Amino acid sequence: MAFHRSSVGAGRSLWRSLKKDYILYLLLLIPVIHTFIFKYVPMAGIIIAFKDFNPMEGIFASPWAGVKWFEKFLTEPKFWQVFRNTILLSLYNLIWSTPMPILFALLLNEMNGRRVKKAIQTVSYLPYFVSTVVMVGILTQLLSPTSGIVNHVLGLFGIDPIMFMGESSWFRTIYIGSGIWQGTGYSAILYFAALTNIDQELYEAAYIDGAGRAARMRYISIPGILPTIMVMLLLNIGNIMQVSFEKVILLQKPITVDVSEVINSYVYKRGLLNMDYSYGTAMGLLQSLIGFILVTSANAVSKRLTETALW
Amino acid sequence: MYYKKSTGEKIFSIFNMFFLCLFGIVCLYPMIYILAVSFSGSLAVMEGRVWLYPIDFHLKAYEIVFSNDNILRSYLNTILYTFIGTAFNLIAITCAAYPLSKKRLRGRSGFSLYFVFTILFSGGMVPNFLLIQSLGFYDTLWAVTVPGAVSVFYMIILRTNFEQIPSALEEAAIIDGMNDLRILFKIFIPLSLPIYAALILFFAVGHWNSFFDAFIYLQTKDKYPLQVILKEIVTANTLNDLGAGAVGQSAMETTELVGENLKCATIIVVMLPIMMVYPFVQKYFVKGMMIGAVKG
Repeated sequence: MAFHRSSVGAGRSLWRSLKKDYILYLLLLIPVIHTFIFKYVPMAGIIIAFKDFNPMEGIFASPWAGVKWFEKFLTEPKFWQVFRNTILLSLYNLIWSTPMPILFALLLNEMNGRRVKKAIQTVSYLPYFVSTVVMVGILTQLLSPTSGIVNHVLGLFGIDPIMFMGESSWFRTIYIGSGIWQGTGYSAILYFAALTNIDQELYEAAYIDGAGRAARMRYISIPGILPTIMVMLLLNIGNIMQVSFEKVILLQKPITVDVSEVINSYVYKRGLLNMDYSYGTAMGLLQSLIGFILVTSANAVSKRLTETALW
Repeated sequence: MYYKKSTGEKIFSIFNMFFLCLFGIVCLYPMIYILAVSFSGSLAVMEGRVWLYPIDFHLKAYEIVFSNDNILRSYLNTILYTFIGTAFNLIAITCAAYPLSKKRLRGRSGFSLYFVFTILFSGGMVPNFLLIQSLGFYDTLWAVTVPGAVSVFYMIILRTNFEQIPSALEEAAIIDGMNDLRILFKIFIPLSLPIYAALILFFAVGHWNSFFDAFIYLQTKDKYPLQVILKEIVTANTLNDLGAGAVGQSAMETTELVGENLKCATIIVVMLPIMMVYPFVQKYFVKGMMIGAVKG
């Protein structure tokens, strides 16, 4: 470890290792500089959240504004609506999307027939490879009120065409449903791997003791994947502020903004399209901070409870 | 071991089989529907007669898609961005993963933290945008290929892989007088070809599907990648909105065509390369996901 060195002669041995491994340091310099420019410089750019930023004057010449922009959006009803939308969309998404891959992995694990099992698993992560734009295109076609198959099927039951994409009440359902479609197979890979790691002898012993299928699932399979479930859940809680910008922007219609506008998309519209740079940065900073606190605390909790942590 | 089943368990097995097959169909069906519509006549689509296979089969939608300049140009753009972007990814993560895989490297944990911190916290959309603008990257190829080059997640996967290469090989090479750069090219990279194959596929699929950067940083239509053009096409309401003259003219010539089958044909054309590499990717995909999960 670089930090446990004796103070005497530290300078010389540092110099020696620099000289010996200069090729390694030169290689490392490329990604280090890249990361500095593209990740750390924008972090420093956050200071425009505390300034009256004017692109003509540049970041340094622009006058300081204190916490004016934070006060501005925190007292704006629109911000709180957007904040609420972000939290609700994430929360509903968490509640609906977390159990699906677990359920899928457990059921697939109980299935007989290797071939069919493999085929279903392979098909299940196909949607993950579909781009967001393509997925929204597919949704628009399936759910179209005039030509879409869904409305034609509903029509057979005497239900009038529904404007799925153009009604606020459907937005969250579509966002979450399509997320389940895209993510279930992909997330299940982890649970499935955890299930295959469970010692088969446990199942055999339980069977000899008279445990039925349900009991084996309840007392062996589920406890076996519980650490994985915990880690994934905490990870998802940590990412609660991260609503997919792409998906929201693509699914959003002017009619549905009352539920579909989230912090990301609002920052984009105010910060970039309206060029309220300072305002957008301030809002983005709040989001990044909340996200950072959530992820680090989720990691700490995970370390305590399951001894598994991301770092 | 063979488990004897009770009647209840047999019923469960049948239902389980049924539900899982249903789930498999749900995953696949939307793609099949889009494929069917793209080959079907407009009337059949509007009447809701198309659900599994094409009705009034024709190829006109594809003829128009392949003669549309916007689509062809964006196809070439996407191929270019995918190649260059993937190359930058590979160079950047190799340069980071190789030194960081050496336990003897001074400041190793500090450098790791330096990279990992960028996953946890970011400057946000506006400072990133201002940076791209002030670097002169706005509306250029560089804006969509350079900023994301260091992918920390995949860098960790590669580093883990490098760490597993036996140190005896490296020691022998040092005795033979090889320097670190030659060791990288003669030993580490050749021994890691399978993981490189996987990484190339991940990155290529990622660049092919990416929308956000191009949407924000590119302005000139000639530079748009496929995903941005597709967005314009699928959100267009009328054929005239589809832009290109070729589309409008052909649509007037024939009543066979409405926007719907044209949109579906475009979706298929955009998805096609991904669906073609999918069988190869998915094998690595599971592996990569596992390494990332264990060591990430």
